[in-house]
Amino acid sequence: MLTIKRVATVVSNLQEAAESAGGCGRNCLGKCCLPVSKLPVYAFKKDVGKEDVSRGKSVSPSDEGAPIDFLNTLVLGQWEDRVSRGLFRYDVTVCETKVIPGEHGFVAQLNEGRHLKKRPTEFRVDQVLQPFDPNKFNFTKVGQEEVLFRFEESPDGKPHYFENAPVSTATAPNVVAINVSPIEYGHVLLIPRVLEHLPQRIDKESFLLALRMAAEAGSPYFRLGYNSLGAFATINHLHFQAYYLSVAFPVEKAPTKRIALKKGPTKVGVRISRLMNYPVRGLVFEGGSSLQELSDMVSNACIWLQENNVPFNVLISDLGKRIFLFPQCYAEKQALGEVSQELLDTQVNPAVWEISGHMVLKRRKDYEDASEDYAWRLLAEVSLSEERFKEVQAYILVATGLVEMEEEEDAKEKTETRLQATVPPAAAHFQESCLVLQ
Amino acid sequence: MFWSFNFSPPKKCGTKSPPSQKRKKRSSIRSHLIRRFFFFLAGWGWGGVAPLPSPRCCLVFVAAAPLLLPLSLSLSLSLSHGLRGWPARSHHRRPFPPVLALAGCCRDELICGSGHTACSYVPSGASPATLAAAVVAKMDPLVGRSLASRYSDWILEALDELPGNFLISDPCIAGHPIVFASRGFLGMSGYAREEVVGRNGRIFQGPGTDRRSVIEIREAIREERTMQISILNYRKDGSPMWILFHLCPVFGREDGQVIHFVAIQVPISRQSRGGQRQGPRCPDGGRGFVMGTCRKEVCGEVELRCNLAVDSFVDSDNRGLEAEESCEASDMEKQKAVDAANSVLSTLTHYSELTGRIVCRTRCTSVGVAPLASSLNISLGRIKQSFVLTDPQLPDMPIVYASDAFLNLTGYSRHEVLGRNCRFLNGSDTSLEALQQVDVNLIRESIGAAKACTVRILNYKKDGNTFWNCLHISPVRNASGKIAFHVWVQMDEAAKTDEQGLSLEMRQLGAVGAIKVAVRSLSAGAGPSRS
Repeated sequence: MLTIKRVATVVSNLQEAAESAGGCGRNCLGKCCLPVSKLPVYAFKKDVGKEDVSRGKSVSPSDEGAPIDFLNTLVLGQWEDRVSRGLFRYDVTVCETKVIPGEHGFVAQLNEGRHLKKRPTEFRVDQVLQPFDPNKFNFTKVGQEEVLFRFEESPDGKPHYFENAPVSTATAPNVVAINVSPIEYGHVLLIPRVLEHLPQRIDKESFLLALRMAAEAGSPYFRLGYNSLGAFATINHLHFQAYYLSVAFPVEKAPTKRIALKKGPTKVGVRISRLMNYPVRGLVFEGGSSLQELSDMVSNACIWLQENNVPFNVLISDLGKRIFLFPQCYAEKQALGEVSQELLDTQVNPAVWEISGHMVLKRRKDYEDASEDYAWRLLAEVSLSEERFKEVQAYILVATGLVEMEEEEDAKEKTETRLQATVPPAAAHFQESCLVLQ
Repeated sequence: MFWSFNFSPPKKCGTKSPPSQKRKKRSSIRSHLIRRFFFFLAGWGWGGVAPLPSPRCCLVFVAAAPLLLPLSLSLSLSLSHGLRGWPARSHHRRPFPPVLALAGCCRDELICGSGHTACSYVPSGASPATLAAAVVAKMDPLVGRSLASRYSDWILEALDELPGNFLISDPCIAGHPIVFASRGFLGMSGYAREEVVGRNGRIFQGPGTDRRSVIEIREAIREERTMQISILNYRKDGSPMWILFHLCPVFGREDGQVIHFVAIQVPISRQSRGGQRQGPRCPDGGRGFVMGTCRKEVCGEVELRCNLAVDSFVDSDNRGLEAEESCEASDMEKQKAVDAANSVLSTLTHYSELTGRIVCRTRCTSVGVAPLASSLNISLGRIKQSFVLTDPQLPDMPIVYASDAFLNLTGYSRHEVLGRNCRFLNGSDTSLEALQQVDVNLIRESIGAAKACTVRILNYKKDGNTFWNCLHISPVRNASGKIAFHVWVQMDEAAKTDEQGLSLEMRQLGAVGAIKVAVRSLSAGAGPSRS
């Protein structure tokens, strides 16, 4: 068993209490309190993705339309309200931040308040999928004051907002809650179907929900991220993170190279590219006829990764139109003692935000000395090797039902027979046929 | 003489207008107006008669003016009401109604605005610039005046005569709208001017547009720098086209603020991509030589050629291009973009001398108050609430930004509030009530203590009416964590309801949040800063 020691980030004010004493202290999100509570609810309209089909028309929903600005206002307004209520551990806008000079424009932040002078705890990093443990901290233990609103699909297809809506027992509520240790303004957590106690594991429905939120927010500076276990997620309860940062992330500016795909029986609108000239090897998914199509493709890839025990991070950027997928191996290297002490000393945990180019540093010295070279060296450690990445990429393509142009013969044969079955291959089909990677 | 605004003469008269000295300017204006009127008549009624008249022979026609005045009036009115943009006219040709035919309007063309029941008759003699002016006049007044207020009223026709495909946008107006689209651009994209002006440039993006390129452009705007990139855009009919996008900011000389962005768009041909020479191409409108009487014929011909060129461009060059990953412009196209940018910028610079509000291509270092970065302006412009930003570093904490909603609420115009302290909103009743006095002190204290606060205070609009203001004040920090501004969000208590169900407080705090996010990246480096 591989483990690393790290200080867990406090995402909720009840986290400490919840870890020591079980049960419900007060208004929480558990089954005891939530179904009898009233929380604001934002119901998004059904087919956000459909707009993308009519091409040439305004593809960006942020061009006009009140509901788009609405979610933005709601997130920011509720967040500012929690600021005034003093629910955060520190004021993140006091934290200094800068763009590191250089070609890529990595963003560094000095955040001395986020990290606790607490004893590090042990995290298992060699298991991407772990069963939900009700005894450990999870989001049902979060206080309701930390919840901003519920994020639901509208039953009648139109967007709605109700300030005081009773939580019905019929639906499984998705909630948006604050992260009390924000790394930027508006740092929130999207917790799909909180009462269902889902472990940190991508499923199609939840991933689409995250994409919907990105699309509805309508701001290119509001991005969502996901860390799998073994890729610096600390809480094994399904959640996505999101915050506002009004500069472009280096990864968003990095050049990409399109992966040429063989034409399959079904027309695939999603374009897959490889990141070029970036320290972490990764794939970029974009396009597609609808949000659903893009979402399904990326979730298939994620599902393959998690089932084959490859830790990974996902960045949902550009209103849900571009998704970055990074398989990573930093924690594994760290556990095996292969990471240099100099990098470990900065105590930067390369999760999705760091990989995307936003470095949160906890020591002033590191902040002042932060250089592009440092960021590059750290991120290079995160990346899979070229050989391993190609291997993983090939499997991902198979898992998403695609065939690369120049692929090895055997892999091609395998997928072609599968494609002839005309059913878009579901991830479940692959479990028996795919090799489990060591 | 409103028609002189609506109807412009052809090139010879129009481009001569900007003089450098004031006296010359005045006489020029006079002859300009006379010529305009003549051309209005000539183009409209006697289009086939004279080539280029002198101001003297205009007098003849001026004498006949009273006869024609009512008709021209009604025409002008219908123009300003029903006109939907000149490029549309080739689509809608209808038989002339007898009354107008009798009146001598044998050369009129019919323009029907989509969705408009009223149709307008536009003399073919009216130059596109007049129509451009009419289109602009129909827009949001801010959008309509964006160019004229900086570069004088002649700028529209001067720009309209420039070759090349380009757009001009104004980052200071909410939504960063396009304020001008060149003929060449409209011909290329298939949009009517009024469909473009007032909108954000992102309407041309489509599913095949490389998102990274979009981010590159957004970053260049944020950093207020010149950039060039190949990007896949879409025409109105949904067909894709590869263009070389060349962006350059236009700075105000006195304060270094970005006034406009010019975006040149040169279509990239497949030939050049293959490393060969470009094929024949529409001469970018070619309206420069269209003048006087034979305008219609020439215009028609040019348009025809343009359309053909555009069509063949679609067919031969762009088919299946969507699949292509990227597309590199040739050196010739790059040079073409730079040349076009130079000619637009020199025109803007030249005309800005008329208003004395001079612009330049590079930011001039100034000693005065640093302006807000245009990226901040763009971000703030998206916020719909009523608010002002004040700068606590400056003496007496003047307002440095006022939102459109604030101006609507209080009735002041922007130049009346910028640079002033917020106290002008208070009036006799405000100061009389002790409670409010306390509140105002509380505001001051809270500013010192750098905390947010909300106060209910009686404020005055410009017209003297009062309103109960639910005022929320909060410090806003920049990238270095220092307080850069105070935001004052005003809410008229009477207008509490919101159709979407968001409470007044939530809308107020939402605005504060959005402002904090926008200001947070200020002076983060690698971009403009107030440093």
